[in-house]
Amino acid sequence: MNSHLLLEPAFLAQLDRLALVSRRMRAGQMQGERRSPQRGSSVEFADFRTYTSGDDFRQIDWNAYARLERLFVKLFVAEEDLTFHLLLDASKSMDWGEPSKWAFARRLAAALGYVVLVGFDRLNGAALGGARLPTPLRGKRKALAWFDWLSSLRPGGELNPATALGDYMARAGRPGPLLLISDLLGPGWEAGLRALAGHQYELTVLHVLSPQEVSPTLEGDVRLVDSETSAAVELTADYDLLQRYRSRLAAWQEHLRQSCAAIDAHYVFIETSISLEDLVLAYLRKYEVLR
Amino acid sequence: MSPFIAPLAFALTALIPVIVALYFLKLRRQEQLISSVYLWQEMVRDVAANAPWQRLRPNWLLLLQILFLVALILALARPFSWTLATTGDHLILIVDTSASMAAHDVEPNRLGQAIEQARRLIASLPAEVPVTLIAAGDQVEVPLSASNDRSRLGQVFDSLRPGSGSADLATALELASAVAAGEADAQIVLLSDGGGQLPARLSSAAALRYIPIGVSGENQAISAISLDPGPGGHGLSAFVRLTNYGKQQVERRLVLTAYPTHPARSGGQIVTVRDLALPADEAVALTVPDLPTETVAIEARLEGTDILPPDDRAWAVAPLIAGAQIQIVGPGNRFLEMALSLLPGVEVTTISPADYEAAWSSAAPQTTDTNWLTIFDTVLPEEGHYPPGALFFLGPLRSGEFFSVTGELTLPTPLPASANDPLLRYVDLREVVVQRAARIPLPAWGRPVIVADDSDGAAPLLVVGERGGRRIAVLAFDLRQSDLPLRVAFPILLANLVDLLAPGAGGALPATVAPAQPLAIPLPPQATAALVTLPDGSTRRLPAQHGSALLDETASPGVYEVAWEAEGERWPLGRFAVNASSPAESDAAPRQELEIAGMENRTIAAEQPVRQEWWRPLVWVALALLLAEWLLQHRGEVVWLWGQAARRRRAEG
Repeated sequence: MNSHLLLEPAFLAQLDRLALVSRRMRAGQMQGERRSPQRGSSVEFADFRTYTSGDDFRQIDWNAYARLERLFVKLFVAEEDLTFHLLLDASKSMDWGEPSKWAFARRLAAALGYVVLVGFDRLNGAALGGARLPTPLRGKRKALAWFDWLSSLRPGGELNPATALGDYMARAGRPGPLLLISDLLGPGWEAGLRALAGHQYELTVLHVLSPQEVSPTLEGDVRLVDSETSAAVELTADYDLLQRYRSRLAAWQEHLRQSCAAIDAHYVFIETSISLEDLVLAYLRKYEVLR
Repeated sequence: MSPFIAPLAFALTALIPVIVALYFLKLRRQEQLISSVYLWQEMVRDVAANAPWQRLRPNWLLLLQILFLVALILALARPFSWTLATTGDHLILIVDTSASMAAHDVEPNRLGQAIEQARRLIASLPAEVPVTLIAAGDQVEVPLSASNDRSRLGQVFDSLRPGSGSADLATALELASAVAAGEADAQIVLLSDGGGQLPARLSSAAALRYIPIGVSGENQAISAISLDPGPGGHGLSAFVRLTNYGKQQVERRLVLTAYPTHPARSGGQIVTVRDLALPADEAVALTVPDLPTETVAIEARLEGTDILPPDDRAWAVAPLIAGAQIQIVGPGNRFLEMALSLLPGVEVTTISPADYEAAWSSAAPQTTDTNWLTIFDTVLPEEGHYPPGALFFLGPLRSGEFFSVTGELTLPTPLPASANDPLLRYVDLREVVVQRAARIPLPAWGRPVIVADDSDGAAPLLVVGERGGRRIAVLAFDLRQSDLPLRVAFPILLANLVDLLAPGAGGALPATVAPAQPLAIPLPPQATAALVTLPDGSTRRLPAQHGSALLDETASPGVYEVAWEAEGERWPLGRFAVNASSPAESDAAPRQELEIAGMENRTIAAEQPVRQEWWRPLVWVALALLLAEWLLQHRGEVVWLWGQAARRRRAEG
């Protein structure tokens, strides 16, 4: 698939000015643009330390030696890269709705991944219930590889969220900010998210639902078939039932929001009827996912 | 017998279990693929009802569908009830509005009951059948003719009131028959208590139904009352007759009150109170003598209750106080006085010319102003001394203000001036001998009635005419010079003349008048208006026309007082009483059957029941249930559409 279909060049240019927000300082693997808890070689002074043999002579503060006749080494804040994890729910339930949740989620992932790469951060990604990114990507030049990987993904199959998240965690290496794009339909998501939070992942849950899921337009006697499990429910859709569904949906969203707050995770609800540009350039900045 | 015309329709009840079965076994559901049933599974209680018997819980849609089917089946079965309704192409209702319909032996009264029955009849009538309403009181009215406007009919019913006279059922039935004659299938329904005048014979092709109204005839009434001069002409005595029209003896108390003036102006004096036992179907009469001399009216009142209160009060007035007054000025003429005194309601006075002139010269000439007619018998007053009112000159010897005497006729032969003069009706002038008569040229104001064949042409012997609003007659010969007074023609001619000169003098004011009957009040010629004091004390001013005034406000029972007015002066004329009681109406027992010649085999005493069907309201119920079911099924869309419309209104507003 042509990766250029994912995002417009003009939109990419706007994304160049954005950066993903990380709420904690983390040690990185390479020199980057993020403040690290490590001491390094930036221009920002951090602390003094008594000289020990093997320290770089260039870091000795000779003015302090003149006053105190002791050797001190000046320490500077290290600026390192961060590893962002971008998880995309590729279960069959995502391939539904008008506009399609899957297409929307993939474009959102492309945009967020591009922002990560532009910020010289490391990007690790996986499609839950699908393929993993073969190697973490870094730098704007890898954007095309990221887009190509996303384009190669196909939704399908049944997903056990707790297992899938556990698998990813086991192989992901260094924890860091993690963005999950999913419809969260089905059990097991909360357990998986709690496990991620317990392993120092900094979670942002982007909950994507289609307009048909928010305000269903069912009528009469229907048999609803689950796209993932093929389970069916029979019901008589009437005004009361649809009212109760909307109440139930609102209660479920509130429950998810509170569960996320309990594990210090961001919860952002997204209806796919919104344009991606509006979402990224305005909505996510408002929720402090981007800046 | 089954109250359904088509009970076979109940076979369709077999559809009810089918609907229930279809509801339970609804297998054909529309399949829809959705992302996940995760949310639906948790919330939809219906979903759990995969087991068929769990659906046996209240379901409004199913209930409405079954109710709709039940209503439809009931409508198809055409249920009916027996009712006393009528059929036909045209319903002609005759409602009795006579006085006896005010009897309250039924609630609220007989007329109210009759109207209720009429409403019931009309309610069962198809909307396209026209209704004609005839109100039969003492006058027959048709307030509504062949109308389909039921609301107008309701208004007319509301406006009906019991009258004060008896019912003219004869006219009403003949009118109804005439209306029905042009219709193929008209039906006449008579709602009455049966009192009133029935036609001697009625031939009508239409079906006639009589619905008797009323249950009881227990009524007592003052059936007669009068106030007359006492024995020997001293004082006044009252005569009262009480009649019990009921089937049981009752005790009633009679209160007799005497009034010195019109009852509305002053309180009366109770002159007697008597407890009387009134045997069933009998009358009791009593006389109360020695009433106060100043009494002008009495009121008799029966205390206690019966079914018809209006006839428990009655009034009577003292005898006439002033009739038509005719004054003769002359030496006295026995023939003339005799002939005039034969006229009813006429008071004749004779005055000598000297006294007449003396009265003119005195300060009170008004004593002559009330005379309706002044006859100058062979004399003429001094110039200008003519009283108001009509003038009649007999055998004038000289010229006067109104005519000239130019000579004398000897043995003229009187002849009618024209063949059909109303003044000479029944007057035979043949063989009338006149010795001498004055030769009077025909005045400009007059026309000749009797002429004499003379050598110079026809010389008038009797001239009548009008000058300045005053009627004048001149007879050219002295009665004493003729044998006319000895002939039958004389009183007839005199009566005709008085009728012409003072039209009101011909009829005296009656002592009693039937309720709501118009009354012509006789007035002197000079009167400009009559003033009538009604029982409630209010006064009506009625303009005089040709010697009388017409009073049509005689509906309220009581005492009426009449005066006349001329040139600003007012003179009493008399009184009369209006009493609600009439034997035909007071005998209020309802008749269960009416016998009318010519209608024997069509007169139906009892009502005939007919079937009234009820499928129409049931169809409406079924439609309403169907609509409710649809709204329940689609209320989501209905609410959405409603919201859209509200938003649009807000946006436009």
